[in-house]
Amino acid sequence: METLWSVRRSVRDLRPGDHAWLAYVNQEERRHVAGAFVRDGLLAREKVVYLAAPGELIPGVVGLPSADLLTVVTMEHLRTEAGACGDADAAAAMRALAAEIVAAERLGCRAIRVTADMTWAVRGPGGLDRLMACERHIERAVGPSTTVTAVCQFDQAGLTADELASVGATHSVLVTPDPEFEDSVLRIVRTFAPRGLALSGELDASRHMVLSQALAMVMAAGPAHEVHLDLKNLTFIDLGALNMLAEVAAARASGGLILDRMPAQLRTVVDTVGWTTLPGLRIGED
Amino acid sequence: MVAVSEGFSHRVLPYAGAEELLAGAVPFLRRGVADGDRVMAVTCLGTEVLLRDALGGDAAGVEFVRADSWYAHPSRTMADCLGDAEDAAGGGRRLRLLGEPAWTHRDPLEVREWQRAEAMTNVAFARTGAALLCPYPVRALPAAIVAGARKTHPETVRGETALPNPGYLDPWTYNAACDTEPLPPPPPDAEELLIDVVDLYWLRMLVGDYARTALLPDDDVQRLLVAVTEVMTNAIRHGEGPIALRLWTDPGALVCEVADRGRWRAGTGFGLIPPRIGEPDDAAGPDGGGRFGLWAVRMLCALVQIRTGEAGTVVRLRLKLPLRVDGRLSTHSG
Repeated sequence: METLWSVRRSVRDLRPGDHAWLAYVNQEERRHVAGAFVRDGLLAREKVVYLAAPGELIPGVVGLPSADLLTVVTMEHLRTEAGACGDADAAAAMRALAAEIVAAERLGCRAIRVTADMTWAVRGPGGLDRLMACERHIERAVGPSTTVTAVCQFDQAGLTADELASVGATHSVLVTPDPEFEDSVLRIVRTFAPRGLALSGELDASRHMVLSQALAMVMAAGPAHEVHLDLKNLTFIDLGALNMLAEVAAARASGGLILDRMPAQLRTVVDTVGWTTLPGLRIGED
Repeated sequence: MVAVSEGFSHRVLPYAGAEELLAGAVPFLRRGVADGDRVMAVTCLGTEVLLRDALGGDAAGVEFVRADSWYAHPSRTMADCLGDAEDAAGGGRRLRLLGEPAWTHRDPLEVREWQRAEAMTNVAFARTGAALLCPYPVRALPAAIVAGARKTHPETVRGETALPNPGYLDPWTYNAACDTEPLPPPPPDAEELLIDVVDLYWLRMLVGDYARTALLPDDDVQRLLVAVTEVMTNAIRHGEGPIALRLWTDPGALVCEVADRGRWRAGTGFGLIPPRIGEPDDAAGPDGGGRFGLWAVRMLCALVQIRTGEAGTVVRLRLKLPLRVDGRLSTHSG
């Protein structure tokens, strides 16, 4: 989501006191980001509280974590909480999650991760206003906390732009996917609409392997889909990498490899060398 | 009289005047028009006028191209022309090209590269079935260039007759002979950097800064960075340390060389032949740095010089520096 957000943090950089939001474009992005949040927590033996949609498989869960570590709050649970007041709403969700946090703190958990997809609450009882009130409450409660990290998930398709902006404004942090790779020279990040990778920095033989691995992961996740590489912030690509991309593209039976937003200086190089020597590479949008 | 064979041909047409030129060129072009070939004539304006007049109605079947723009860069010209030849062959036709290389205004280094390209043409075009005829004006050219043409063209044409050139050299032998002289040593004020870090990011910063200071245009800076990265990657992978990078400016050119102690194995293609897509390197030679590495380096630079032997290997890249506004050739002040 392109906004002038004050603080953007990838999942691994989130810390207690962060009340973050994720405006996801599709379920793949949601499961990727929320999955990393859950997985990192469980691996570090932190408490994870997850508000699940009916029938949802919790992303990022490996094996069968004990109930001490992972608590799944269901919508049925929320309806019980709501009781006579009617349908589950944002306030009921907040109460249920708060109760879990209190319980975990009592058990001595030093780090607690909470995440919930709250898209439904915008259309629920009380609608956006009640959700906003709850979010502001959470912001006040989580902000000073030294134990709790919260990630609120929203489906971009389920909210209007105005609603998204309003909801976003009640959070202090925008959470982004962890980079697939990052060092001082090159950064590779998953993209979800379109599916692929965004590359920034410089790519040469020292880092062909990490690109190859990241590409393999994206391709394995959707063999029949096109894979896009967003090159907008790539300032250098060597011949070996171009050759590698051409070979990957040629080897893919279905779903091509498309180079989006290729900077003019990189294009100059390929134009000079000749696109015909790199069959399979396709130029996407500018 | 030797009939024009249907296979690949690459012939030189030395001529002393218009009559001899037309006696060889006109039947060559007419034959192509009659056979339904793709017929091209790459010449100067004067020759075009002569040919159009002599061809009459057949001139309509000939594409005329101006030689000075066509012969812009040995590798790029070869790539474009080879593309045309392969396209024609793919469509069941033949490329028939009359090509009068532009020799004037070339410095000795460029002349050497164009002569080399004439030789490599015999390898690169062999399976396209193209018919290539190269007129050489013997009175206007230095004798050495005409003599060289007899080494790089298998046959000589006189009128409608083609005779084998006894002095014709195997293209790879000719290529090796081009590189027997050692390269002039770098000037004493050349920037030198011994490479002991494998991350080429820092190297590109240095080369980029130097090139921009020398007023190399931005597009060429990027081309240089890609080329030097490729050459350096090859040296790191296949060469022997220590590896040195040197940078300097000659009048009108930025020079960047990579030197190491290794020696390339025999059969290395030197990137002189365009890679064939979907096929392993054969004639193109095992370029080591990937299927099209050195070929691409040649495309990116104005000129590439390679020496490999007992003393090690040097790959020298040259890019043209623009004329400065004060009309003098720019030189790097250090």
